Amino acid sequence: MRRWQLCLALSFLASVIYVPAADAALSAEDKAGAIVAGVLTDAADSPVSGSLDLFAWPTGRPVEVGQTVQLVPVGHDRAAKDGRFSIASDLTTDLAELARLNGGYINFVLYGTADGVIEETHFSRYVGDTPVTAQEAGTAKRPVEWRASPEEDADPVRVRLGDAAAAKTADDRPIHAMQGGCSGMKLIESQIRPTVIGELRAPDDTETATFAYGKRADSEIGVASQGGQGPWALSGSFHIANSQAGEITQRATSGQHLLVRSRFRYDRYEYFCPSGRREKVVARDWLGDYQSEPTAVRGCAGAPEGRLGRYGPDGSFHRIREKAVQWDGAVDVFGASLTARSGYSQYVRGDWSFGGAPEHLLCGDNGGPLVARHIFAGTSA
Amino acid sequence: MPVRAQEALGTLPIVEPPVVPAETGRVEGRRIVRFAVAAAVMGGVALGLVVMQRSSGRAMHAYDRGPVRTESDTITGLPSEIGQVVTFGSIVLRNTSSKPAILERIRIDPPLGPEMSLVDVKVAGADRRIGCVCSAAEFPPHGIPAQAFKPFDGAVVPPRQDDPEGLGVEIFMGLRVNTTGEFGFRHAIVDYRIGGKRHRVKLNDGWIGCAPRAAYRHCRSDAAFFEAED
Repeated sequence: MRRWQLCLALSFLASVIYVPAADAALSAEDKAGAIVAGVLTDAADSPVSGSLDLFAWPTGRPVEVGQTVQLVPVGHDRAAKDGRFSIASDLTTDLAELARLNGGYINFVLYGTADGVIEETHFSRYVGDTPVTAQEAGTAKRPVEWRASPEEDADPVRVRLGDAAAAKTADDRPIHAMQGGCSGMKLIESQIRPTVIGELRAPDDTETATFAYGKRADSEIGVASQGGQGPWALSGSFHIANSQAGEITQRATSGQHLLVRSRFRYDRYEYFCPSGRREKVVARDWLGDYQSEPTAVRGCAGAPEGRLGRYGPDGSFHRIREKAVQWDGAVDVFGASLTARSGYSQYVRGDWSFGGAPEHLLCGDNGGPLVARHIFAGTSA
Repeated sequence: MPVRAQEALGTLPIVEPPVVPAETGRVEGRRIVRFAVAAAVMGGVALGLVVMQRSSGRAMHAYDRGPVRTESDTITGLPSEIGQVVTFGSIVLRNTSSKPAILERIRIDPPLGPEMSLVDVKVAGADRRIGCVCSAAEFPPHGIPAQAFKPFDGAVVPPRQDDPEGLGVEIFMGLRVNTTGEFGFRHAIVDYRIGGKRHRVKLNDGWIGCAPRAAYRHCRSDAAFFEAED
């Protein structure tokens, strides 16, 4: 008996010992679980108890003007006094279909309500668009890791309820899960608008510089909403990641500084909440073309030394994964000015081939050219 | 009376030895001591294995994970003459932890063939006074104070509080193309330690060298060059 106990103890010890350190490190990073978690707060940013309802937006599904779209109910939670909430779900067949239509991303609308005040926020999650395996084919759900992007974990969300006077429901009745108490998401208008997707700056003595985008879109575009005749207000963003036949490639030569735009389709919806009629503008899809325009020269004169990068004669430099860059005022549509953020993946790239001068200078706004969000070029200011 | 040696005269019942309390205690005590010694030996062995495993095992990280990282995914290229040693400097390590990281080893992945040689590796910290000399036609590169260059082995990547500008440590490789053609590598693997813990990071800053310049105006700089290798 004692020998048996000793063997058991040693087996346990051995199992503890041979957990590789590498695996332990990876498992700490390998987070799965909630689609969204965070804190519900009042207008003063203090945590409040309330109700949270999560819906998936049908990005990628066809919709015609005059048609009412159906949001996909995903989950519900009730925040306690500390405001904390968490909504989890496996990947249902419906959600997997939405991910497939949008490059692995699913766009969500989260409605938070407390004391009759309602607020909505928009965000996306990346789950990948790998085909369903034979083993998973018969199951309605499968576990999945909800990420902000292929490389980024999802951050907590802070849902801040607006001013009670402006957003209070008509009769203080509790909001129940059905689009957060709102209904009738009807498409009333569509517009196609050029939207900033990046920039390209080439120092003197550059043979070619290239900005490539696609063949899958990779832009996170702001969602604007308004109540009644009020102003448009941004309330989060949706990720647009549909595919087109090929990537677009903008080229620049020596000393050129270009802003690159591509066309996206935008939809304007009307819907009705207990507080009254509301509208929102969301991006629907990327159309796969591009145009560029000269933009203000931004060179490296005066840049801190640590942000400079030097390249030799006839050298080349290729950034495979760009950093996400947020462009304020990237597009004006239906009177709303939306942000756009591009550059999460291999679908946005930059490439420079320099001439025979002894050195060429690139620099970044928040670091060297290897990692910066914006790359500036040349010796001018 | 005749006695037959083969025949038993009688039988005695087998009895347990008399129970002597003091004797029992000694036997039990010896068993406990033996068990304690065995347990101590086993425990010692287990502890030794833990220490050995922890000291030899490395936590593996991608280029944008772990305490020391680059967060860059790039390919740099430069044409040269055959036999010319040029600089590849597009690897800048930053330490996101609060403790210094000691560099132990660097190797190229996949290993270089005979067509290209890694001649030397140096590093430079904040005193290099530039973000990076990402490529240069000479090695070590001009424009960096000579005293800024340090050997790779044992170099320190300062903790984040000692590197407020995020300059990190740049790795300079002296590389030589030995025959006509385009050659390179996609990854470098760096081993380092922080305190007693060992780490390994696989970096995504690749290099393509090509020679001679008369044959190559530019080297390729696209990831497709490495697809067969990955």
